[in-house]
Amino acid sequence: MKSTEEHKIIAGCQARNAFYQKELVKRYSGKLMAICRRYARDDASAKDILQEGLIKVLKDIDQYQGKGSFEGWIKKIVINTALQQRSRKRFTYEIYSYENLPEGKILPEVYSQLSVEELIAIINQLPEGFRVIFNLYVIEGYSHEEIAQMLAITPSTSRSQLARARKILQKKIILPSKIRI
Amino acid sequence: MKTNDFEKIAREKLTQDTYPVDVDALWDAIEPEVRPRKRKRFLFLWMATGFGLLISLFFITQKDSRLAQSPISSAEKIHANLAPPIDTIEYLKDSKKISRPKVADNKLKKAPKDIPGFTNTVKSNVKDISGSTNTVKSNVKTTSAFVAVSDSYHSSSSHRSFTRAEMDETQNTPSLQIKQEVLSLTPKIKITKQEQEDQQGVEADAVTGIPARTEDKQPIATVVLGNQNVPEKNDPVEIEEREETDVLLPPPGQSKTRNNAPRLLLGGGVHTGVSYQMVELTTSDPANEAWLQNRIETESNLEQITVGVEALLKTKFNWYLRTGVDYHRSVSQFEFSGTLIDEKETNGLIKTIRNPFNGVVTEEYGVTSERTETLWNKKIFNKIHQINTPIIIGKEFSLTNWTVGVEAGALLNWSLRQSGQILDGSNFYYLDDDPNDWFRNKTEMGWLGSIQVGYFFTPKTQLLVGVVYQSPITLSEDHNPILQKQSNIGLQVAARYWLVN
Repeated sequence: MKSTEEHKIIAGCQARNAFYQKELVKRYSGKLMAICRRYARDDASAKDILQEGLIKVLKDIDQYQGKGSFEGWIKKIVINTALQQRSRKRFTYEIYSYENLPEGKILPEVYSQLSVEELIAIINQLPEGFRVIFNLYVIEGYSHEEIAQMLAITPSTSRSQLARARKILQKKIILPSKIRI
Repeated sequence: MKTNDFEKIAREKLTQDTYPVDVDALWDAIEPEVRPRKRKRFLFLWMATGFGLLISLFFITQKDSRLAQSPISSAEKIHANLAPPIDTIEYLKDSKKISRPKVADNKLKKAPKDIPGFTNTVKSNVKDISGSTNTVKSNVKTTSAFVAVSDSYHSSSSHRSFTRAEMDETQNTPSLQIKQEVLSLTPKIKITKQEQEDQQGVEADAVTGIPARTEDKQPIATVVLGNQNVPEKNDPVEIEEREETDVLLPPPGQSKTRNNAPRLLLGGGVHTGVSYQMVELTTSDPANEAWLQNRIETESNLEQITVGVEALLKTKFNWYLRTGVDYHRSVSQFEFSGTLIDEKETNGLIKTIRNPFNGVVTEEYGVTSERTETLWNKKIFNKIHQINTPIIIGKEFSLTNWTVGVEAGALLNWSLRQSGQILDGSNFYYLDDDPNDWFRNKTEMGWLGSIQVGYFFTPKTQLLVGVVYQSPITLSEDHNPILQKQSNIGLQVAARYWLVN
């Protein structure tokens, strides 16, 4: 259910009203920046993604038909923007490798103590491709079929890369847990 | 699953996460991009300026041409079917170019130097005398009655007008003897219908005795020198073809005779050409350096063409203004190669162990990974469409039918980029073919310079060959980490058609 304020913002943005466009930026930029940080390697790249994503949102807002969550629609555009920008820079990241890390002990009790920054730091240690799929599947909640469509890969590739990501994370989680205990 | 605990917590915390953003700074960066109307308006204004200038000047040209129907540019002349005049006088301003048909057997006299204080730009066709329908028009500035000395037979536009004071003044000038010549003849005077209608509030002319307006800027009378029989309106006229040798035609498409040439000539044309592109690629991100270096090393220019239409306005001094629309397309290609690593994991039986002592068989299950490496090679195309709207100022130098032109000016560039790729041997993806990325976010300004050699095949048709240089213009999108600037130098062929009266 959309609030009255959200309705006003959508209508105002569709009318290209600068006031409501800025209101949209003010209202959603914090949440969207958090998403961008999960897909970007650094804050500068995250800001670029956010800026480009919001431009697309404001330009294409006429395409929003009012079906489904408006916030979800915006998030999807920003995530797609992040993936596109990643693909442009992919020439430098195309070939990734990872170590076969030894498995370590997992201490579930420390998960809840991790801050957002620590969680992001752990996820960001994943190789580029694994990180994207982990974010899309685990955090955003997309299915492997959807991810396959977004990244132009097969669903089985998405599944296998997620499995590898999980394996790597199991190793990564040990470190902060040792510090905290 | 223990990993799922981590994932659950990560999902809960990260989906609710917000991060502080400087909204004002962000909005400042976004606002210009979400308001494309201003740029479109700018583009429209630029194009409208060029074409508006041309159209307005075109109408000026038309008006001017009607007023100054030059005997030089006419293909034929109207002569009264009468005996040649005893004597005719034509004074030309600079006395350098004289154009008279031989049949009139006129004696041409060198014009006196300009007398200060009067204007000698009467433009008259006086066709009422010879039976045609034109009326006398003039922009002579005079405050007293005057007489327009005119050769009415030839509808000449090269007339000289004299005020009364000027006529008196020339009496004392032995070399001119204008007054004597004029007054020794018995002028036959015709007043056009239009003039009759206009003759309200006139006063008598002291020289001719004809009513004349004191404040009018138009001549009220035409003096025909020495005609024994002045043709009436309905007298037959003969049309005589002008022979080329009889008149001093200016070079085709040119306006050398200042007295007679229209002020402006309108022309239109088409051009096409090929060019060589000079590409400058830079990036501010060191991570892109290797990619960039590879592109520079492997990039080749496949195609570069230009076609365009143009409209021109040329002054009698051969300065011209050119505008139009150019379409420019360039296609380049560069290559990349590498290895794609794909790992697949499957859960299943890993190995079977049989104890040789007791015969017990143990099966071990787990994840088996399958690693595939695929060599890939892709060719990336960059096809850039550009539309330029130039506003150019040029100067043309002429020698008989040959011309040399030099021109330079500003251009407004709008470009559309298309990318594509061929990928061999893998399903590696590349999302840069998103149509949203085709359109650039802004237009660019640049400049253009050209040297052209032309030849007039007919008085109206000109063919040109020239070298054109276009200054570097940014063609990459704003968000593209690679900045691409491109300049062109090329060879162009143009055909122009001049509307010459």
